Amino acid sequence: MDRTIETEFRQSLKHTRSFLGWIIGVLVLVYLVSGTYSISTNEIGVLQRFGRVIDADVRPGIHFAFPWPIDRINRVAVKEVKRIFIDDFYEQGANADLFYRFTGLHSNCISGDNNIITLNCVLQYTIANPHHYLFHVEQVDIALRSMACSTIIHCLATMPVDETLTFGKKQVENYIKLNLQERLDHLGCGINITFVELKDVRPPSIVQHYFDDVINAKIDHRKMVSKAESYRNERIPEAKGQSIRTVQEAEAYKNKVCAEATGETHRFLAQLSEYKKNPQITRQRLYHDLITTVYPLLDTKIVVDGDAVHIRLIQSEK
Amino acid sequence: MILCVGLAYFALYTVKEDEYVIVTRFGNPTRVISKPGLQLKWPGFIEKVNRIDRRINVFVTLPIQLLLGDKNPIIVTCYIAWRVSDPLRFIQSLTFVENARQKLADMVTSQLGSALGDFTLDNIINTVPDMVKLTGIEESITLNCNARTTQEYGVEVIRMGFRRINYPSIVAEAVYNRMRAEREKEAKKFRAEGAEAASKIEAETDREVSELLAKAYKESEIIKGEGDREAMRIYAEAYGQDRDFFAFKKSLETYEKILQSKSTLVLSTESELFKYLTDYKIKGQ
Repeated sequence: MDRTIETEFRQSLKHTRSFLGWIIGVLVLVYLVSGTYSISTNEIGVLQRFGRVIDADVRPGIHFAFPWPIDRINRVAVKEVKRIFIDDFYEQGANADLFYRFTGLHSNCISGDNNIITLNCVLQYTIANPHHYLFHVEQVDIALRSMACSTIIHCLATMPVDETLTFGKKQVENYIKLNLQERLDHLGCGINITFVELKDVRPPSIVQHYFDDVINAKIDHRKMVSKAESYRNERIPEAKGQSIRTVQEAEAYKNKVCAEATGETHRFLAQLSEYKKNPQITRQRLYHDLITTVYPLLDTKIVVDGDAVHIRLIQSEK
Repeated sequence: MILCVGLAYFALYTVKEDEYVIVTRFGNPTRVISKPGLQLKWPGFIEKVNRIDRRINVFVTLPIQLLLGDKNPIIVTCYIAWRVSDPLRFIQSLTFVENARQKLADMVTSQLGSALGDFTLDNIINTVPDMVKLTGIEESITLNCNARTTQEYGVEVIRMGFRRINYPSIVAEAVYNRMRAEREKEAKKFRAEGAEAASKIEAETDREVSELLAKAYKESEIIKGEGDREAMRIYAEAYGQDRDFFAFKKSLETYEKILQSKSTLVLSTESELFKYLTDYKIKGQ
């Protein structure tokens, strides 16, 4: 009886052992396979074995590695363009409010000719060196922001405000791109600045109006000159027209006067030739024609005997 | 086998790429591991693993108000990039990262205070780029700090830089006022110049116009004069042929014109008109 129980026990133990064996075998297999990983196309992998980097350039695809805690994979998105917004010098926004609450000061930047200016900056970057990015600098974004701000200050401190506000923008952007990259490389951050843009560069709101007024003044200047020129464009042609008219009127007068003279004298000369043929007769005829015409029209006619009195006509005051 | 695994767990440890490890035995540091990988130690409580981040740490100081050499006040904020260069010395002197930051901030602040005292506002901002010494100041402070920190704390200061430079409120106000005045002056100048240019053009125009008209008037008078002269010549030439007849005809024309309905004519019987009134006989009979 005992033998049977013992045999049965031993048998069951054997079964259990083999069964357990299978399970353990499967678990070990699963564990070993768990180290397999994949890298997607816009990433690069960094493989560490027991903490030490053994491959800092794992290409996209499926790879086999030992499972944790032996191997560990970090994925870095190298194709992704990351963006950072530098608003530390802008007078509005979260950063500005924080600064104001802490210091009572407005966020801004000082220009080379001691003017105050406010601006925003957009930076785009990619991760160029995954190993450096992961292991050289702690909190790369703080480093990036700090050094970007520093570069901006350095550049603006040498430029006059009028330049920065207008054509100098490109120069500042180029300076930032070069200088910031230098600083980042000096620290070994492993990132590459791809794009820099300055946005909304303008004087602080307090004095914005006066800067705008200068532009308005330039416009007013042009307007005044333009108005004067149109006055000129009106008056000169007018005067020229008037001049021509005046001369033409004189010519017309000349023609008229000469024509009148010619006409009158022609008439006279015609009469003269007739007169020359018979002077006395012509004289009397003309005289009598006149008296006949004029006499009836007169109001008062007084005939006085010539011997009687000499009459002197005195101008009366009536 | 279980014992092996247990031992492995307590005796083996990894050192990561971004850290130093200092192994301490009963609180005393025995060795420094700077190479990453798998390492051995005495298990359990006999030896302890202390990890120190070896990466570069960048932090930002609080705003500090300082005076420049020309007594101009400015408020600066800096960033400091540092790292542990000698882990043993670091552990012994500062131990914690927070202490390091505090110490560094204090050091940089005092260095800044004295450094800026040697410069004027013209060295901070200037339209002549060579006058601006910001980079030089940053580099010299970095160097000076580094000399001390490497020795005393096992810390390397890689770079310090200006993150913000601002004016205190009072100074800022003054700057705003000045900016306002400058722009007002400029606007005024443009408007004045515009008015001046405009009135110049107008005056020019008026002058040219009167010149043109005067010239035309002169010419017209000459032409008229020519006309008058010509007419007079024609008359003189014609009437001159018989002055007497001309006088006679002209007088008759004048009488016709002046003897109107309102006129009173006084005639003598001696006049030619009434000759035949008193004497109708034929002459010579």
